[in-house]
Amino acid sequence: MQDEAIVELYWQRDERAINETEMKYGKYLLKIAENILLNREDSQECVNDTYLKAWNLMPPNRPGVLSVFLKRITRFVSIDKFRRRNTSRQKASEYTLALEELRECEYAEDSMDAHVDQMYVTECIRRFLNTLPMEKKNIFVGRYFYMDSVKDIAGKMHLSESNVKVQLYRMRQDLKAYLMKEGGIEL
Amino acid sequence: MKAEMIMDAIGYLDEALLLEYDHLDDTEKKKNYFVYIGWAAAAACLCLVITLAAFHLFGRNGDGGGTLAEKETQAPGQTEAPYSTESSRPTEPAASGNPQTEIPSPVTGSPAPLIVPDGQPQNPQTERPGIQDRNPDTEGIPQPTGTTGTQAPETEAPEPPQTDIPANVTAQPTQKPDWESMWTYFIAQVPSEMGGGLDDYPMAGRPTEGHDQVVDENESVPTETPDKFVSEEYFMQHSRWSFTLNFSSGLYVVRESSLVDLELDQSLGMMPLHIRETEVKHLNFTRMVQVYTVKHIAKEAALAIQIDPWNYYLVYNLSYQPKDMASFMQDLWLRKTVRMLDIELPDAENPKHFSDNDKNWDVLYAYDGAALEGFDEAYSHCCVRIELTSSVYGFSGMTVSLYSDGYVKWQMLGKRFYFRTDPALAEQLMALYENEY
Repeated sequence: MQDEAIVELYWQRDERAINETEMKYGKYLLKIAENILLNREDSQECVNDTYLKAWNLMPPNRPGVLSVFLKRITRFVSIDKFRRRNTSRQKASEYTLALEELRECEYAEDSMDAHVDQMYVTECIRRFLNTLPMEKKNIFVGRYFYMDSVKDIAGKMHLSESNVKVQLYRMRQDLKAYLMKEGGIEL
Repeated sequence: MKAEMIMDAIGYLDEALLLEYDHLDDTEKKKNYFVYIGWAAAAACLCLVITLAAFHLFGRNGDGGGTLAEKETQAPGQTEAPYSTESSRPTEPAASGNPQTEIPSPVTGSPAPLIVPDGQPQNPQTERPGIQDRNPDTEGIPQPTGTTGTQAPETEAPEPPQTDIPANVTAQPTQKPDWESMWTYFIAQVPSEMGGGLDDYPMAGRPTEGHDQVVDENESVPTETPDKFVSEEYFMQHSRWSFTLNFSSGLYVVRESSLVDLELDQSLGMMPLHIRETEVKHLNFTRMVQVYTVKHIAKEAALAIQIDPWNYYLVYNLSYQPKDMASFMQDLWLRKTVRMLDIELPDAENPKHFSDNDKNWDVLYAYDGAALEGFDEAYSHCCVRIELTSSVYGFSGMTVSLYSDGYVKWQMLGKRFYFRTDPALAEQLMALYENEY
């Protein structure tokens, strides 16, 4: 079923929308959740939460790209669930690894965060990505949005893992410099 | 800035950025698909190479293929079937010592001997059907339509593909004038004060498909030469009469007999003519023309021109009968699209011929090139021409209209051609009208 039809089912409050969504995007959403949580049951729960949130968001929302809309929800739900876990249960998932990597971009005290607008940072990252070639852009998105492993990214991009790692490292360095320079977040 | 904040910010990235990575999966699947196709193609090529090599080694000269038993069964001069490779004959009876192995010719489509499970053919024959039909020049060349082995009993050579093509497919469409676009273009060129504009133009005379015919089929064209002093009734019966006028800064030529009618468009206007008596007499004009009015051609928006040979002027018949000529002429004068012109006639005994190089016509469109070419050669000097020839004399009716911007409409029995004259000449001619009246 086409995305437009599925969205229309949501708008018509037709419960078939959930089934159609699961049939079409269930495994992709589960993959994202597992990348973050590294737990099958928790991931399935997050996917179900995704369906519920989608049900509540449509209407009034009518997403342009349903797949991205759903994946974004899954990502947020899963990350939120990950953060609510006890520290002892926070396994070394891909999300954990990606988060550790991004710590290289940290450049100021924690107190700064209160003064920085979330969307402004997003805009800075978007501008930074637009300066990159498509290949690097995809590597960055695959790693830090979809939480794919380096191995998976290397397979999709037809690159070696070491190559992907090197590119990710350089992008993190560049991102840090970009955020400091273009972001103007220094206080 | 904490890493968690950056991670959260990444979650709000644009859809376009995220979709690019999503599409990698699809690309990957497609690539895998093409990889499989590539391997399949490579395998097919390898099989083809092996087959060709086998043909070359065993089948080309007829002495390399088959077994000794096979060769012994062949008559002198016979050659081996081009497809009889070792690889294509897995159940070769010769291999089991059967000397009566026959291979059908794929060219003739002869049935292959049935092979029983033990490899013995059920219909052993000593002669190969169709062997005499084979062309030695093509020996060893695989036949594209043949079968590849003896495993296919009752296999017939496939028929060649149908090559019959419907006549309507091969027939090239005749190029016809694009009346619609031409008409639209032309009307767009006519200034509004001249009646231009699609909404203003009378559509009654608009060319249609039916107007492609030059000669009216319902019209009876007499074959005999009419008497010069024909009656008015004869004129009326064979109504398309000859009249040729050429306007060019006062120059005027009458080529043929007399005017009977002109079919005009009221909104676009047409020049009425004023012909002097002396010149008309000089051209023996008077003896041919009586005072008559042709009304039967005038239709709706079209106008009829009436000629009075004794007064020598042309009159617009604006679909109504004027009370008198003065009021009618005044009416014409008020219509700025209608003008009258005094015409000077050249010496009929020594008509002036104009240089062909003095071409002021820019043909925008010509349907009948031959007719236009002849016309232009004779009157290349003209910036305006009016010609209405008679079917009695073997000509076709024709009207030509001048417009102030230099465009000329040439209508010939429903066909319309459009020209553009030299703008300077057109302007000069129009100025002449203004000065005269």
